[in-house]
Amino acid sequence: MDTLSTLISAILVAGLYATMSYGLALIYGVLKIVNLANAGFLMIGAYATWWMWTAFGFNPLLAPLVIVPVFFLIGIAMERTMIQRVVDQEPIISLLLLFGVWLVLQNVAYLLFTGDTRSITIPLTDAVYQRGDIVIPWARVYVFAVGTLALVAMQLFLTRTQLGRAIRSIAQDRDAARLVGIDVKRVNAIAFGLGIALLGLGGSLLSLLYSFDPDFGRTLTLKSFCIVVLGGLESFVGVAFGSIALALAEAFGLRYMPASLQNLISFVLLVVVLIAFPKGIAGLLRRRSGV
Amino acid sequence: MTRRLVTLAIAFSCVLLFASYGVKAAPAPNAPAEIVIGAALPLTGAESRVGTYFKAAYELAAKEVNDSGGIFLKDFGKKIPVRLIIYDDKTEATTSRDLYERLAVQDHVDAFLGGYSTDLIMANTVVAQQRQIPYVNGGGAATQIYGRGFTTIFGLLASIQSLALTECDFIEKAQAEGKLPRPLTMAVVYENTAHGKDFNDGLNQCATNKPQNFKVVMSEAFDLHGKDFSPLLAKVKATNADAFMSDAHLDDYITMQRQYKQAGLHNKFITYGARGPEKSAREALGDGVDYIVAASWWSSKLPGQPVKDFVAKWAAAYPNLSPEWFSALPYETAVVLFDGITAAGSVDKNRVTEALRKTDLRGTLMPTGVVKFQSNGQVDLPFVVTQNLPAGSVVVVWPEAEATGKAVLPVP
Amino acid sequence: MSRVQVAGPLIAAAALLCAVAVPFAFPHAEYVLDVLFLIFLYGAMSAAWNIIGGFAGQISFGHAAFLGVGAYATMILWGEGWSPWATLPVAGGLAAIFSILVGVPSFRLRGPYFSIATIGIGEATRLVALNWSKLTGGASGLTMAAGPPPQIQYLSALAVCVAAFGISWWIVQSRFGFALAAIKQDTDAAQTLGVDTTLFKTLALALSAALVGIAGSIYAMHYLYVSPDSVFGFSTAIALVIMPIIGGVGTVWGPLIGAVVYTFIREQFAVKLANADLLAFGLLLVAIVLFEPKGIVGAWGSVMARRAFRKRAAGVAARG
Repeated sequence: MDTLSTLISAILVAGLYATMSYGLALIYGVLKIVNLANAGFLMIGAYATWWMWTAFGFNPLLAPLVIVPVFFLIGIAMERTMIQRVVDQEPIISLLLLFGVWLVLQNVAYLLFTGDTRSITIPLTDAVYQRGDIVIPWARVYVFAVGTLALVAMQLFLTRTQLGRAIRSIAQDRDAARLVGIDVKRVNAIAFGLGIALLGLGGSLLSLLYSFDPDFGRTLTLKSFCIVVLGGLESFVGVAFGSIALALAEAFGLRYMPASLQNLISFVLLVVVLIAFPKGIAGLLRRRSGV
Repeated sequence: MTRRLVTLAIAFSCVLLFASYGVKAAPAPNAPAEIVIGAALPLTGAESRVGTYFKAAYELAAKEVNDSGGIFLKDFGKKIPVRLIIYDDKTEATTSRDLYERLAVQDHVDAFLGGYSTDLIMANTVVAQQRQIPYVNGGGAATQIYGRGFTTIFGLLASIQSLALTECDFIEKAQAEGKLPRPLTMAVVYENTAHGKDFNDGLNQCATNKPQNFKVVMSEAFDLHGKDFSPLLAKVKATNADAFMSDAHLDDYITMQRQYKQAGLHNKFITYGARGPEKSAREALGDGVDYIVAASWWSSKLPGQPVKDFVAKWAAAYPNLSPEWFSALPYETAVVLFDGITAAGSVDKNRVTEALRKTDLRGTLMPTGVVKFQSNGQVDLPFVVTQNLPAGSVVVVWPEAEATGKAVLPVP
Repeated sequence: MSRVQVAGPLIAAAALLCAVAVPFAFPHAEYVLDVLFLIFLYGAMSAAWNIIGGFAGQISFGHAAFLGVGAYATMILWGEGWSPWATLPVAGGLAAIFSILVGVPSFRLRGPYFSIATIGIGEATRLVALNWSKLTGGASGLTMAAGPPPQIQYLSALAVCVAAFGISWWIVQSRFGFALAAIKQDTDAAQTLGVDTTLFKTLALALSAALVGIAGSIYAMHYLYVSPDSVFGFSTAIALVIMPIIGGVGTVWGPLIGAVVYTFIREQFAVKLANADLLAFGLLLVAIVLFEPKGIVGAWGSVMARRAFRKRAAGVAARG
């Protein structure tokens, strides 16, 4: 197998992984809760894109323009009604809450759309760039590009705007942030909304590449956890780093092992990192006292 | 006081719980008011697409027989209507088995119609064996279903190993005509299920028996319902094989073929086992499915009047569902069961099982028209090989006696 | 302790007598036997999960792995000629050993990270079972032609259930349980006070896994077919978490009530609207987390406490 080909492929996949993981990173960074409903929102994002395409002929490439604001509002609503109540309790509570939310999302999708696999086929889907032995599907490039744009936009937002700085300070030290007068409640809601919006964006982009059913996102979520742990829970650049690391490990690992074990790579990596760097990640883990 | 209330409350709810499950008495031994047939199908979950077709087919067969008054039972000298009970097992093996148990014990069915998908059938046939209830299915092809010494299980799907061997026969013919190279190097990818393993075993058998015609250069399993096959396909590309032989379920077929095209792959022979001509694949991928060869248990393009009649019947009853093998097979399965009951002349389970064992039907929908079970309960019918041609057409290319067109090989 | 938990043992003894009598009193009520079998089996698994998830506060989404190890161990040895009953202790033992192997490293993680790791463990075990065909039969799974009669299966499920709840009851009274509660409350504080948190967590997990493994054996004897998806699948893992939480996580009887509710809802929805049961569970889970984290037992407890309070208040007012 051509090394260059593998490398390019890995980088494109990394872009994809990063896009899926931003939402998780942001929500954990600010609210300190692990969003187990990650997969559910990715899946709904994909279905929303598909539905708009089949029902109204709405161009899937433009779908994020609708999905991002809508999901943002949904995120804020969720935060206000449910998340707010559990933010300050033991992490297990929020874990279970979001697990329940995921179950609800998954089964509502089953009821509305049935378990049939859906996919989106537009001219972009099959277009490829071919030069010699290297073949690059344009759809992946598009996803990579949008993902990178989102990364840059978020990074700018976090560093250049006041709201962004507020988010970062809460992520660093919530009590200190409160002391300097930051309205933690309001910022929490916005951060959660942003996280969900990013998930919707991710799902919408994924729908261009993969077929999906209501169970979509579960394996990808495990990879997201791996990425977020690898690269650091509070920075987007960290997410990018983690994504590249995972994508490279998978792509090159595949040369030496059967394809069916590919998903095992992310799990093994997750466990190895979690266990090999207990001190390094320990600080982040012990932000919640007790459990 | 509270303690007593609590005790009473719990005792009362226990009684309610028992009562709600109703200890129904088994029906009396006189002429039954109806013949109860039960099945659990994956109507939701991963296999729901095919599961819903199975339900439609069973219902069509039941309606047909009821429209003529029912099944004639010699023992009672009259026609008795059929009542069909179908539950949704959500594509879960344990749920499927529990539901068949319920059908046996709660609904007192006289016979079972089978489910769909080997994993589910492996689990739910246990109930049929334990309670000695006849079970006829058109949804499980893996040989291990019939290799357990169970005596009441019958299946209309020929084994996947047969499928692989049929494709090999077809390839040999093409090689003889100079359309494909000799030996044909094959990159085999198969789903990690009993189904896929049978396919892989069959192809390996071809290569062992006829090394001058076949050579396996890659053999790898992939997980069902995967999303990303590009790494696997990259490996396939690296082998530069003549043929791409895959065995996959419908959704994986569509995903894989899309990514196959995106990877710029171009083999001389492409097959996805039993998948190929499905309308939903054509709709999803357009001309991306052209030239794919499939070996299936049935094709609507088969010649013969019974097939044409069925296609017409199906279109009239279900204009929105296409006539695929998963329309015809379950329909024929139900018909075979009803025939068995008629031949037995009663709903006595042992007699029906014996009658089914002796099934010897001609002029059915199946390829060659014959339905006859081997000693292990599975049929041994030939497969129908089809090829997708441009502009949405499909031709039968094998067996030669039933061919309706010529194969276009190698893939242009 | 709330009044329910005091009345518990008396009701339990009476219920136990009834339960044992069922197969003899209602020889033709096969369906009732089936349902009760499932309730007892699920109840046992629920109670087992509760030991590590409820008492020790370590939420595991990967318990299906231990169920699977037990089920596969039984199927493999049974296939080699062992008597299925002889495989029970082996199944439990193997599950316990496996849990120690994966648990010790995982317990370095706290709270949600441990839970995420357990999802990974469940998935990894499934992948291994799927690919290690020589041992597990791979995707084809393992199957047996016939198993023990339903009455014996029923009694064995009942026995495991009684054992699991008996152990849970004992834990709540014991110093071991006290240590687990301390760990659940604040692991670091407990560690500082001299409790070897890793040892206790590992013990709890091993006990939990052993029970689930034995339940897995009985599961195998009932279904006569194990495959990676049916046994290590995510739906099994979800069930093991939902039941104790709905019933009342961390309480003694919660898991049994959860198993009853779970079985009942599944039966009702099975024939009407198939995916609505998981939807109902999801909604219940959300409701429980938001309003009554101790599930049904907790809700009952609140109701009783309020009644007692009102009574007392009325009594005080009357004396005026």
